[in-house]
Amino acid sequence: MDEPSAAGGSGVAQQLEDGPLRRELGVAPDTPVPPAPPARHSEHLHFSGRGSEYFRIWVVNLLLTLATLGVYSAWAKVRKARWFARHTALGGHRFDFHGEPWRILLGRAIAVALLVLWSFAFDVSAWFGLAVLALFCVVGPLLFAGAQRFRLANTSWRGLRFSFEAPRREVFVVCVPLVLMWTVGTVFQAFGVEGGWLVAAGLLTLFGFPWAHARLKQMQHSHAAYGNVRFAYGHATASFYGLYAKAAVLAFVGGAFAVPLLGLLGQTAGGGAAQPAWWMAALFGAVVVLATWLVAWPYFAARLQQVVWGATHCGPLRFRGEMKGFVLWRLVIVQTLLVLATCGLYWPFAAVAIARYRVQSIVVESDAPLPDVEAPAVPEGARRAAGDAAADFFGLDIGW
Amino acid sequence: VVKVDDDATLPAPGHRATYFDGRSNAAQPVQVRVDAGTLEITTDVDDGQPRRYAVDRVAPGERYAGAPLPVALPDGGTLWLDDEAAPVAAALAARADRRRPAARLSASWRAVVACLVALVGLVVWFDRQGAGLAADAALVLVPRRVDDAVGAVAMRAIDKRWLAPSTMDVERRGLVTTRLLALQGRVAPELEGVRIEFRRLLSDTRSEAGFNAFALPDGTIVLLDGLAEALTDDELLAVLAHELGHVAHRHGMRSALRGFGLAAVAGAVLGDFSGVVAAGVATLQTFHHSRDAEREADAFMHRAVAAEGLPPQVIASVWRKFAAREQREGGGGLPAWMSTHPPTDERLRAAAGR
Repeated sequence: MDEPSAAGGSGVAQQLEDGPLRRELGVAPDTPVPPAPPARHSEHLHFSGRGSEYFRIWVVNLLLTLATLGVYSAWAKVRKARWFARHTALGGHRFDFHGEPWRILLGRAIAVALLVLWSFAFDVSAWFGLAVLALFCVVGPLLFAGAQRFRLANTSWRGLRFSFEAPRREVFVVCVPLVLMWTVGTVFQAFGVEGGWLVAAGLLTLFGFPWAHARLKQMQHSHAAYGNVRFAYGHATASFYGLYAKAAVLAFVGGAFAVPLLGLLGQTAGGGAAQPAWWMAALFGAVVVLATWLVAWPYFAARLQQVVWGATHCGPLRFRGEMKGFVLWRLVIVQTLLVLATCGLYWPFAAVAIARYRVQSIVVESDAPLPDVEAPAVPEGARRAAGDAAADFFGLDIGW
Repeated sequence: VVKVDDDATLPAPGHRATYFDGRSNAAQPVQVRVDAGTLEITTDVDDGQPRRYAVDRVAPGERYAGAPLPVALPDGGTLWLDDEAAPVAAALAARADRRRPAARLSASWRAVVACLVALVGLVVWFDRQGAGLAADAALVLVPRRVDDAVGAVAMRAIDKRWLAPSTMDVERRGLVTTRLLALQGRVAPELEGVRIEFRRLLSDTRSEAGFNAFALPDGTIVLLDGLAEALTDDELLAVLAHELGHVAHRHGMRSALRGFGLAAVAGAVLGDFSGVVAAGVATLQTFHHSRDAEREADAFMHRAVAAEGLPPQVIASVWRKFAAREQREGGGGLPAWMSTHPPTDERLRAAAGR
């Protein structure tokens, strides 16, 4: 019974992708991207931040965050985001970040409240759990879109802001499946669902997730704008499946490398004594997770950048992600070792090194030289109409 | 003779900068200067008429090394000042920086080193004392009802997954229960809901059906058959008194609260780098507090055994049985910092010392 349900799952995915169901749901069709002629001008993003400067910001941020029991974390986030934006340049012009800390604070308070509610919901009763899940399905997508809007509307380049305005219906169509995939395990556990259904839900999540992630990226990138120039996004769902499949294989390889290594370690440490207690299992688990992550994540992040930016364009501009999995992999391994060797003090330097590589591998292509590409701002009236009361309320940042 | 109007003909001695009007993304090269509390911006395309802004109406950003300074203008425009306009940037930012204590701290290495020392001190203090104090403070706010609910949920879950009904002699069960409740009435009469549940470990492949006893936050003490078979009635009472100590000190809820605090701090410090590392560090620190809690429960046990009129050798004999078992089964050789319990040697010495 697992086989057909998995096939059925991808069948629905297929339908949503280009079938009548998509029109039914009112999801904007993907605009096919004509094969682009080779661009005459290309410009790399440039990152000028130095680890020693970020280190100083990081230390102060951390101290104030702990000393204020976390309240300062919102201000810390703004300082961090501003520093990274101001050190990122395109065509010689810097980005800037203008977010207001109190909105981040409010967003975090709401997120923490929702998560606490969620983690105890099914302990109260199954029906209360379902009610909280329903709340998640309503509020979650709006919060997500709000966070996206917050991030973009507070980012500027060459004197103009970016923006994000997705139709509410699309926000729900894209986000609710993700909420359900995230919660299905807990819900089934609470209702004591076992066996075939659990396997079916697992498979559906496994095969549905790349699709859902692709849809999310599509929504993020096709409803963004710079000034009044809209971003557009092509087809990339198939690439997401390839990306996830390869990352899964790499994760498996990483885990396979870690397990015999740990066995060896256990042999030497145990000295032939009886098997150690549960904490050894927990430690092994943590090491396996870390090894898996170290092997699979760099490839995943690099390929994701290539796929997502390769499908994105903005007016006359096209983008290219040039990040290489192997280069990022080497960078992440070395930086992780340095962080571990310094009890975490090297982290700001590592964060800057990784950010530099990720930022500088994004290329903007255009037919005209970048300074000549014009973008007028959105007229004042239109801007105000877009920001209704609900949008303002949910224009919070929930991300960490 | 032509009369020269100074202001009109002499170009203002300004610095080159870049200006955006906020309506299009076109970069306009401009000349800027600050004069008597006024920022003057002269566009090349204008007819030389400078725009003037009061210095306290413009909003310069924080200054970063090697990055131009953006200055937000009240009309929605932005001025970007790089090295060529450094004096203007310095004049504008000096005022703004005074209102940014965090920026001033991160601008000087000396202040950053002081912050780092304070940070390490704060984290170490929080780990040693702060988390405990915070947990104690929060404990007062958590009603006992919560302990009861948590205990009931935990008992259901553990019962379902790990435990089977006890095969212990019913008469001995009654005796043990009576003695424990009598002891509780003497040493901790304020406690409510204390009871013993007898179980054996489900599908235990070893010969002993669980060499353990544990307490849940609602006052339930679970005694496993393996331990009951190995100990005499007096020794059993000592172990149960130790578990009663956990209940009396609300160790279950306290360690949960402290765990929240430690996880939050570890998450704030390390979460950016890796959630796994943060969780690992927080877990190791909870072990350290768990050992302290065990010592507290041991002290309670010593008091209870004395109040009961039992010889202190009873306790030493319990630890000797634990040590013998550890020798047989292994698992006792954990490094101390990775263990949830104090080393048995130490507990034996403490028992002998009294």
